[in-house]
Amino acid sequence: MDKDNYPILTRFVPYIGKATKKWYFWVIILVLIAIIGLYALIRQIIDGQIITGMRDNAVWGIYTANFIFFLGISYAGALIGSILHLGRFNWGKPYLRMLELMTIAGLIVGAPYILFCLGRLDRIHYLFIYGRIQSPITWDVIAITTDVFFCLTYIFLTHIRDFALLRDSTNINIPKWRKKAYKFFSFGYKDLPQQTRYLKLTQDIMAAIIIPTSIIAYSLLSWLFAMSLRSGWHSSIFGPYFVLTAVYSGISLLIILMWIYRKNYKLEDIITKKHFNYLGFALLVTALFYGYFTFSEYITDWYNSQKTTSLLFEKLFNFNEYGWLFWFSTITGIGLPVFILGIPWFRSIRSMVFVSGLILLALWVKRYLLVVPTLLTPYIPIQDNRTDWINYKATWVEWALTFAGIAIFLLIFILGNKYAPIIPVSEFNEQTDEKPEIFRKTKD
Amino acid sequence: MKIFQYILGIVFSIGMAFFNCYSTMAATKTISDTILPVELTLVYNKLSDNTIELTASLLTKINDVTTPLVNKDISFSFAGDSTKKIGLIKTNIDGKAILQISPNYILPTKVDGSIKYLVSFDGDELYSNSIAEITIKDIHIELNLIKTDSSKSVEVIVTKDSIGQRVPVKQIEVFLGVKRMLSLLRIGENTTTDDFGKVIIDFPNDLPGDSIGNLTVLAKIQDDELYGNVEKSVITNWGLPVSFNSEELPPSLYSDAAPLWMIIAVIVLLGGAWIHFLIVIYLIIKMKSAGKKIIKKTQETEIVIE
Repeated sequence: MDKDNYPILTRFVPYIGKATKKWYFWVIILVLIAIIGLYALIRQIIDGQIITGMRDNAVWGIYTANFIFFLGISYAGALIGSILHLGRFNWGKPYLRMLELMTIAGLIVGAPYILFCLGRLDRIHYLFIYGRIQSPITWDVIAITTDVFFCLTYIFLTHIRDFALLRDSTNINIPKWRKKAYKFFSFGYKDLPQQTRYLKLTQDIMAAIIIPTSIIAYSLLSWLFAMSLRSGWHSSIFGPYFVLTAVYSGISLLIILMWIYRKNYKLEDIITKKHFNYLGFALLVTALFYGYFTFSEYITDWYNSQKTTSLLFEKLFNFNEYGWLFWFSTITGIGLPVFILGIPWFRSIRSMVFVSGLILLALWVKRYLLVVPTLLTPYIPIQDNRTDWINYKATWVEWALTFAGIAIFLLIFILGNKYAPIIPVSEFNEQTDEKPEIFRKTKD
Repeated sequence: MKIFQYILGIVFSIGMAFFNCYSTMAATKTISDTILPVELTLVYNKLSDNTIELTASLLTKINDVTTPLVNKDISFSFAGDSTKKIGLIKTNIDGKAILQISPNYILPTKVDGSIKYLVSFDGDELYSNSIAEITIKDIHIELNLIKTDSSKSVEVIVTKDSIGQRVPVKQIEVFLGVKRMLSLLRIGENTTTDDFGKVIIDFPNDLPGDSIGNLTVLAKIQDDELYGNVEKSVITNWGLPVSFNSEELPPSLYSDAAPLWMIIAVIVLLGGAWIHFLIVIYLIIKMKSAGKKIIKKTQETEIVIE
């Protein structure tokens, strides 16, 4: 491939080439955090789950909140990226690589968290051997496995042209093994019209499969909860609610990532105010929908006044229990974004980034509130009132693994940027004002 | 934030303390200054098994709110030429004292067939005394269920005692109904007794009963000034049997095998997705081989030129 056709590539050469001290610094810090997490995991495997806050009632805790949170980000990345790709939105091209990294990092980090909740990890293969197709857990296992395959393939496909470009570039100072890696992963792509046609077709197919796969997979994850009869979980709107929340968290994270890359890589001419405006608008609309779904979810539960539901609500509203977390997640997740993004005076790139950060935190708290208070409000009363049975408090092991997850998530971005530009460079020579048809061969 | 909580807590506590003080003072003043008047009422019910049930209600008004007086002694008596005390009952949480007189008890009936019942409350340091009385003529309801080949009917005969014999009670409204779970379902219209003290109505054929079709038919005279409340009921199997299947349905996915629709849905969804995946793999391989072919062609062309 002729690198002269892709002038943007030269701007990323310094970041792809030799690593700086600053880069090593961050990598070492993040790796250290990941190692602490690994140590915590080893301790948990050796000593058992007694060293976590999980007990007979709260069999899930922040691991499950992390699982839902990171998978939500992953599905949102796949979903938004595929829609932008299939919709042929030229303005959406700067988002694509970040969304792809979100997808892959979310899956790599999020999926293992559910394994940490298992008391007998050595029996994990039983899920595949004895899995019953009518079990929501089996649905989830199938969906996540399928999604991992599809997302990895799609991301590989979207990287082929950039890898080919990097393979053929002579002005990048990289070791030979990396050149070989680019050669291997570019899969013989030479920018020939026939190859481009095949590649575009494969990308289109994968993007088209990933949209329903992501929606189904995240809905299945929600049904893992909704199929039970527990108060706070048994809800028919959980599927769309989860998908919407995932998109909401995905947009929030994308805004933060755009701001970081725009600032550090000096991409003000590529990631412009227009891109923030588009995402800001999407964030506002999603916030309103999220508010609507949340209200709808709580009002129907609250109104039926079922005994355990009332107990659950007492816990959620009581400031001595989960009241502070509940109102934080509600006000920060719904009220604040609508207030700041809805009023022009408050609206700026910085305020968008600030609000996005708070939204991510609020949505994590929301997932925590979804899991823990419900588990501590069972239908059959807790007989033996041991303090650690009727309360859940995450231990250092769980927090260490949580921060390790965040560290690995960031590490994937840092390493990913080292091996491919954060903007899909090869896409940028095709930018035309004319929008290609989505449905071809449509008759009059 | 904690400071605000403390301040709010202190202010709230002081407010509550003042409120409690004021309420206690006000209540003390009311109790010590006046004796409250009470309202005593008596209701007569004659049950289906001829048991007579007398219900006395003792109420008062505190701050314009009608309040039942609990645990107060109510004395029940027959009144007439001389008063005969028949019981002393304490009021319950609803302010009611209920006395039941067995059907075997010989009532002090007057010559005109009437009996005077009297209840009294002697009062105490807080509440005034009160008396209530009611004069009732004892009547009898006979409830007959008549079944012919094609129809079912209910016959009610209302009589009263008069100089050693029973005479019909004319032109009295009788309620006829069937007991349902929460209330009575009226059956029949124009249920006023004729000159023979009789009412006959057709019984509907489509009323659901219990599992063997049993239901309770009831005739009732309500709130009559002369006769009070009198009822008679009969259990009959004239209802339609309703099967109450109490067996709990298991959750739908707890079956041993997945339902067919689910298996088909999974196969279609997964099959559809993975077939597309395989197409993608095939296209990638084609893309790679297309590149190789071009390179080969170019190399061959270069050799020919040389």
